[in-house]
This record gives sequence, structure tokens and C-alpha cells, in this order.
Amino acid sequence: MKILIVDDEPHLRMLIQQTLEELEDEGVELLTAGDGEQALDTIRAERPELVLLDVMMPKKNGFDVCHAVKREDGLGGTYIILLTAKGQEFDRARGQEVGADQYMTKPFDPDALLEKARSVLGI
Amino acid sequence: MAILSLKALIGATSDAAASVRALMSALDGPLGIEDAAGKPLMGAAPDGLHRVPVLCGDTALGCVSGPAASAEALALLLQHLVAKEAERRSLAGEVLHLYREIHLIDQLSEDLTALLEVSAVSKSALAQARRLIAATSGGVLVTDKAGEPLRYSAQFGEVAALPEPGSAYVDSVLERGVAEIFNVGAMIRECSGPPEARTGSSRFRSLIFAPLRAKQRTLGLVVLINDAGDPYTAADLKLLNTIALQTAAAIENSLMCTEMVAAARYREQLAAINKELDTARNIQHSLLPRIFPPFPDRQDFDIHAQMTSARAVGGDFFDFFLIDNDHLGILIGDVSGKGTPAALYMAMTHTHVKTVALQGRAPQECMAEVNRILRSDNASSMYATCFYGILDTRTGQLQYSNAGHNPPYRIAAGGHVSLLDETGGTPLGLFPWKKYEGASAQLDPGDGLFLFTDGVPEANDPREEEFTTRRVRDVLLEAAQLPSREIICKMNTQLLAFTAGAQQSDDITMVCVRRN
Repeated sequence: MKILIVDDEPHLRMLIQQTLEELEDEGVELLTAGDGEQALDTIRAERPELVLLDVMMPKKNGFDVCHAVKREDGLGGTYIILLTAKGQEFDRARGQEVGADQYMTKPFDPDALLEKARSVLGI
Repeated sequence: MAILSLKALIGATSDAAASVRALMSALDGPLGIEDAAGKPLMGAAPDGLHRVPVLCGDTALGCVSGPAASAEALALLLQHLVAKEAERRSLAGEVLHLYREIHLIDQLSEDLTALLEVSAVSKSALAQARRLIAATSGGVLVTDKAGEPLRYSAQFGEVAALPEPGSAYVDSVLERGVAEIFNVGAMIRECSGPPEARTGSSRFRSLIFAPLRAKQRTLGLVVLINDAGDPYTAADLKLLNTIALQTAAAIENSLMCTEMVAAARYREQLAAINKELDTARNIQHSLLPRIFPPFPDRQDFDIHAQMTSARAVGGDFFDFFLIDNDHLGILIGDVSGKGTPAALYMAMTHTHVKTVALQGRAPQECMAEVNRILRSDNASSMYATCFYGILDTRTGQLQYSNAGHNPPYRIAAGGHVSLLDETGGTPLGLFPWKKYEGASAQLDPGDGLFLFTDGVPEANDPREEEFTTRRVRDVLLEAAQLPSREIICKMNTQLLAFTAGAQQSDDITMVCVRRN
């Protein structure tokens, strides 16, 4: 099982990775990507079950990545959680439109994120 | 922390994979890397070649096999990568720990803004503190007002272990206003359960205190106790202090809010009381004569009266009525106490006196009868002073009886002013057996009678000096020749000048009758 962590800020990638680290013991592979295009490439190549996707990113933003993934054959079942900074206006309608499964605000609650990842992966 | 794996370190998607592969092709081969279980991860080497383990601390993560020099070199690189990764993870772990703290404190401040009660704020603060700092018990001690005793507004765990308000720990933290850790080295003996079951085993106790400092004062403190594990650290102290600062601000808001609610409630109550007083005042006034002159077709006497109610509503009353064509009843009185009870007692006394008086009974009989009635159904300790007189409008003879009231002044046409003789009666409603005496006086044409309640001589100026009966008499001497209305007018003007706006505690009532 694979989880892809997408954020243009390296420290946030590291934080999420660290949060989910204990899942590695249960055979989960943690992948990372630093922008939207790299994310899309990785999703196509690695087919992760869960993608934690930052919304505000250079090159391709989270909405566009989500939209592309959900429309692509064979990738539609990918569970996508959009990550949005607190205080930043999150366009719920746009999130629904592009087919995101859920959204979370940063600073995120590490315990809640880990629990969510476990429930999505069924472990 | 998850165990590092070589697979993750040099896996297809890792950054290190390319460097490892490049080194492997540059070294003399064949070289192979396998994980701890012997599963090949990269390259391959035939059996029997040199094997070098890759360690993370004491744990072997896998091994490199191949020609000795090459295998040693590759293992060295892998060892270096493993050490770097271990360091990264350790740092990331620290950062995550801090991030978790930030998130919880952020969450706490958000939660606190939504809470208005001290106990709810305290509970929320304790709950967040427990998520971040290991504790077997804890509590929040606060005072609602400066100088009032501390009390626990929230607590958890073994409540008996919490320090008492006023204990040395608590006093020391409050006095110094800084967070402190106390490690109780002398161990806490287990003493739960029956005596024979007490093992004498001991526990180590660590206590951490953080004061609840608000702008003006220290509101109390937060205490956490750990009986189960390691002593508290400076990091725990700093964290609890941060939580305490946020909690103190929220508790201060909550206390201010409570005060505001109490003030609003007080204002409402005051408004209700004022409304009640207005009602009492209305009852009082509705029973008294309000139209002057009251007998416009009578030329043989003139009569006037005025009552100024005190803010607190006293129990003054007065009345005059024709018992028959030649007999004018004149009544004045004052009920003990103030407010609605006084107004109601006054209404009752006034009605009884008037009812009995209109039967044509002599003043002293009237007083005795009303006294008996009031005494028989007076559950309270109220009483009323009362003067009642009957003026024969033909002869000028005044028959009267006085139940403890201020004796009225007789104003002679010639300018002489004197008090009517006392009849020695006690106030109505005090003693059921009391007898009342009658007396009489003569009012010749031109003579007048000035009746008043104690509000007149006791009217006070801003320095609490009283108007006194001497001044009442002086005004009457000056106004001796004037009609009733003007005498009262003059007295009123003098009273207003004397009191100079000072608030009066009693009703001021005056009645004046003059034979023409």
C-alpha cells in the first residue's frame, strides 16, 4: 500500500511523512512529491491508495491535480485529501467539483491525520 | 519510531538509489545488497564472497556481499546513508512533537474563545494539558475574586493527591508567580486498601505548577502530578506555562462576563423594585384627597394639604371628610417602615379609621376601635401613629385624640402659635388593651390648625441637619394670617430652600384647616 504526500514546502512533507511513519512498519510505502506535475507523474507510476494533496502549489495546483486524477481511467478510486492552510479561504464547491474525498486544514492534527490514513487504507 | 529499512532507503523512488547504483558500477564487482531477511534489494553476488553487515545502532538492517574491498566501501556508504536517515528521522520526530504542541495549543485557544464558564475553560485546559504532558492527576485552582479562597474548578485522576489550597506548594507558586517543578524525593508510600495489604512499596511523585497570570493579578494555578513515570522536564514546564497563560486569559474573560451578567441582573432587579415602589406610591396617592379645594361650596372654613413622597415610599396618610353638615373629620398619620409593606399597612389603617370615623364615633373611640382591629390581624410588627380630630364647623370646637402622632399646631388669629395638648396615646397596632383619651380645643373664626408628619421637622439638608419644630413654628408665626393653601405653600418653600436638593428619607405631609 502506498501513500503520496504532496506539498511544495519540504518541512511540511517531512512532518506528514513523520506523522505517518509508523505505518511503514505495517508495509505502507510513503512517497513524496514537491509540485503538482511531479505528483501526477508519481500517481500514474505508483498508483497510491491515498494522496494528501496541498491546494496552493506552483506549476499545477491541488484542484487541477485532483481533477485530472479523478477523471483518469484506473485512477478514479484514489482517495484524495486536500490540504489547505487555516485562514485561507477554501472553496468547498470547487473541492467537490474536482471530486476531492475530504479536506483538512493546516496546522493539521497529527493524531487525526494518522487515524484517517489508517481508516482509508483499512489497517 | 518505525524501524529504518534498507529497502526504503535505496528503493526505486529514493534519492539515494542513483548514488548507490553509481558506486556499485564503479567498484569491482559483483556486488549485492540484501535486507535483514536475506532478500536481495540491489545487484547480486555469488555465495561465498565477503559479507559486510549494515548496522543501525546494534540492529543489522542487511548486508553487502562481494569482493572484500568493494563490499567494505559500499557498506561504508550505506552505513553513512543509514546514519543520515536516522538523524533526519530523529529531528523530524522532534519537529513533529513541536508541531503537535502547536496544533494542540492552537486548538486550545480556539476552544477557549467559545467557552464562557470558568469550569468549562478549566476542563478544556486540563484535557489539552493531559494530551501533551503525562499526568496521573491534575487540577485547576482559581479564585473568583481577588482575596477570595481558591477552589478547584476542574480536576482529574486521584483527587486526594492534589495539593490543598493554602498548602506550601500552592502558596509558593502564587507568591512567586512562576511555574515550578517539585520532585518529591521522599517517595509516596502506597497506602490504599486495607492495612495488611499495604506493601510499603513506594512511588516517586513529580508535580508541576504553572500560575494563571492575568493582567491584574494571579487568578490561581494549574497543577499536574505524575506518580507513574519520569520526573517532569523543563520542556513540560514551558508547555504547561503556555497553556496556563491562555487559560488565564480565558478565565479572566469568563469572570468579567459573569460580573457583567450579575450587573445586568442587578439592574433588572433594581428596575423591578422601582416599579414596585411606583405601584406602592400610586396606592398611597390614590387613597388620599387630590382635589383642592375639597369643599368648594363651603365658605366657613378652608382646608389644604400636600404630601411629598420620599424616594423610598414612606407610609404617610391624611384625609378630611364631612361626617355630617357640621362636623369635619381631619386625619393624619404615619406608618412605621417604608416601601410596599408600609404603603399597604397605611392603606389598611387609613381605611379602618375613616370607616369607623364616618359612623360618627368620638375620636378616642375611633382610635381604640382601629387599634383593636389592627392588633387582631397584625401578624407583622408594624404600627401607625395617627391624629384624628372632629371640628364642629358651627362652634369651632375641636375634639381630638392622638395615637402617638406629632401634636398639631394651633394658629391663633392673633398670631399666637401653640401645640395642641397631648392625649398620651400610643401608636395604633401595638397594644390591644390600650385605652385612648380624648381632648378638645377651640378654634375661633380666623384660627387655624396645622397638622404634619415627622417628615417636616426631620427634613434634612445636605449636611444632614434637620429642619426642626422650631423652624416649623417660625414659619407658622410668619404665615399666621394667611389662608391654608398659602401657609402650606410658604412652609414648602422654606423646606425646599432648607433641604437644598438633599434626598429625603421620609414622606413630607402637611394639612392645614382654617375657620373663616
